[in-house]
Amino acid sequence: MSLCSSPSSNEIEISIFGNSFGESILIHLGNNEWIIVDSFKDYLNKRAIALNYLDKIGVDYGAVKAAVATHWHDDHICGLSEIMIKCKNAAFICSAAINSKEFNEFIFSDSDLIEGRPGNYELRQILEELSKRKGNAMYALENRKLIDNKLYKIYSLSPSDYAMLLAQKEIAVLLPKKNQPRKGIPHVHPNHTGIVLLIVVNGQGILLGGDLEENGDSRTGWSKIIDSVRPVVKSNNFKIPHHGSITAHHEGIWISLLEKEPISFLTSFILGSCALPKKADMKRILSHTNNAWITTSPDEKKQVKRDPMAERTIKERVKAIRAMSDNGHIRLRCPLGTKEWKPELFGPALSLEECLAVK
Amino acid sequence: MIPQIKEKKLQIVLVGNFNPHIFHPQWFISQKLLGQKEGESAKIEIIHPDIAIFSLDWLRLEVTRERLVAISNYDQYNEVIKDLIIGTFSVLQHTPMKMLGINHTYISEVSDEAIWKGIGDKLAPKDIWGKFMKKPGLRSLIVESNEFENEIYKNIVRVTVDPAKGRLNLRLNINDHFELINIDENSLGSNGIISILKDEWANSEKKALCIKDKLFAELP
Amino acid sequence: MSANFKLKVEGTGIEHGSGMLGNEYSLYHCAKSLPAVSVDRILGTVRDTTDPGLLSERYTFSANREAIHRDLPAMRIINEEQGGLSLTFHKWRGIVKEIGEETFIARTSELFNNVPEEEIEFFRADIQDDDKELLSVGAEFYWCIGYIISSSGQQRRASFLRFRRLPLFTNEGIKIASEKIRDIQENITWL
Repeated sequence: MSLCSSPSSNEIEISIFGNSFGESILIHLGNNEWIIVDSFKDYLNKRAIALNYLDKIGVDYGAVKAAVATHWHDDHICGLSEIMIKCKNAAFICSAAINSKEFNEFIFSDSDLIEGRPGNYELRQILEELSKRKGNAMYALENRKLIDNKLYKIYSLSPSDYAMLLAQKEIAVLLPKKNQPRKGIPHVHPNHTGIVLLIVVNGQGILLGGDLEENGDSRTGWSKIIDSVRPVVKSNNFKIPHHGSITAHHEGIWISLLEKEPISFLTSFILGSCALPKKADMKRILSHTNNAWITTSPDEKKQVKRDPMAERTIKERVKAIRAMSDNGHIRLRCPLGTKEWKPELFGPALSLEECLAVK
Repeated sequence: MIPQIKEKKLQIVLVGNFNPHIFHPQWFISQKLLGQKEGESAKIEIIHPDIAIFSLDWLRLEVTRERLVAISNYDQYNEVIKDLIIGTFSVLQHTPMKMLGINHTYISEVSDEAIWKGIGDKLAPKDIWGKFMKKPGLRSLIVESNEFENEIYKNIVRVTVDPAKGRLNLRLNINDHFELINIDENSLGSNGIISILKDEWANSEKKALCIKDKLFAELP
Repeated sequence: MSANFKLKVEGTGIEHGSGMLGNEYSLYHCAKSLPAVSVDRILGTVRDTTDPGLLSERYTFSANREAIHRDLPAMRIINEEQGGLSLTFHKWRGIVKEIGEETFIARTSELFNNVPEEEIEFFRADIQDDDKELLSVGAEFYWCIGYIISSSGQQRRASFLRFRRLPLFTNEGIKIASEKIRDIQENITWL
């Protein structure tokens, strides 16, 4: 099937994009209704990858019903404001943690001057757009039904109340004070304020794990989700959290939240010497399911070609340089009422088995 | 044959109502807009209620009551100067301003006299001038264009071509000029102009590069 | 015009040298047991100048600018006084993502060129003194490479790293932000 074909109105589609720096997911829930979860930009035209894809398959932006920021990290939020501006019917869904008064004061004090810090800039633009069009927004909290219509239901399974409390303490230090220098939104570890979504379409569950991590505290993370009262649906599609890292693993996910051998997909992530998923992570995932796909290999080492003068100077002046990968795209489609999922791979996307074999 | 670029320079010009006395390197240090060592190494020519001038290795700043000019001595500092201006007027946000000019200057070298004369002939054909002047030659050429206008501001681009210092050196100056249209009580202050600087900066550089490349492509 | 550079000699700390424009620079070690060396920045070779005029041995800089010599500990050029880049050919804006002991890692995007974002590991020693306090995760900077052209017309390749300086928060700025967010939130329906 060609990349440029759109799903039929009674077909579910899950499309996940990744380039070893960013992640974005689009889901078609049937009847030309779409949601977008997280975003990054295509370097070629500087646009949100999700919008580029919708253009390719001829889908009107009005079909997007919700845009979700699972958390504020740069690799998940870049381009989300453009999505909100272009998709006039989309409600905005974010973690309750990032809509506190303190957090808002921080991003509004800061973002005017910051070009390179997507987290600050994007959130500000999103809120300004929502205000301009008097739009709708929703907080994601544990066990909250966000959207309920005839075709599908969308639940948030996190963040938990305790995670919110921790986040408030962490965010409080961000509150701008007179004569303090400006900084970007820090990466909070472990990531316990991120959103996990459960989408139920025609009785089938799609579990999007976001970047939620697990540190053994039963009040937060995956432990909390597994032990909580939640919709009794086991998912057969699973977006593996935090690039397959061990820090986001909990055996209970595979036992309590997922069907056997679920279709699993993830994006890789590279920062310095950290390349996720590691070999051990891949083996662990494959021990639970053989149906696993990854958008790009974490070992891919791409270089930008420049003129000889530039290359020589760069080689002399820096210790290492690597370009982000091409955009990998995993697309899964399934006719409503069936479980006949057909995976398609575009760009550098590959099966996790193949990725492990090459490592 | 495309002239070889030897040098690129940048100037940011602001027109408004300034208080030159404020623009002392120590003030910039106190606001963390300049580093301590750098600010202390500044060469101050004058700091006076009517005029302030100081220089760093990479910057010359001249401020009068009506005008601020920031001149970049080196190409790699262009964005640094832009940040300095934006940072300065985020602190001094009540400074009224109405105009902004981003001036890009390219100095290039032409390989020989024949090409040099050919450039002059192409830009200002001599057949008209030769009818009533003995030895006409192009001294300077200015071409202006109203690029756009909206309810907030207008943009005019002015391109000047003339000889630069040194033999067979050509100077191309692209003045990207922005002017607020409706200045009322609500828009007094620097926010209007500084927003334009932030929004138009990247585009201004691209515009200048495009003009330079396309003009040079037309030259002999 | 003299140019200064720092040459880090492992085990002895940082030594400082100075010299004249051109290919050679003299470095005088504080420890007398070590011979004086001069650094050819263009070719990246180091010459032993204990006996002026007598060329004894050459040291070669490896790709990461470490000098290797059998009788001396490892040396590396870690900093050079920045002249002006009359022409820059590539400019990047970067955000610091990770800080190590000797290096920092940043995500960068090249300005004025449509290429993929890159992850670059820079040497901390290349940060100018005034900018050292600005190094933190999330800090932004500019990086350029190009040519320095001297008054005599000599061209040499160089690079330039500078952290962005943004004004401190002010009470007024914070107040304006609070008012703005209040106005904005009034128009958003949180379901």
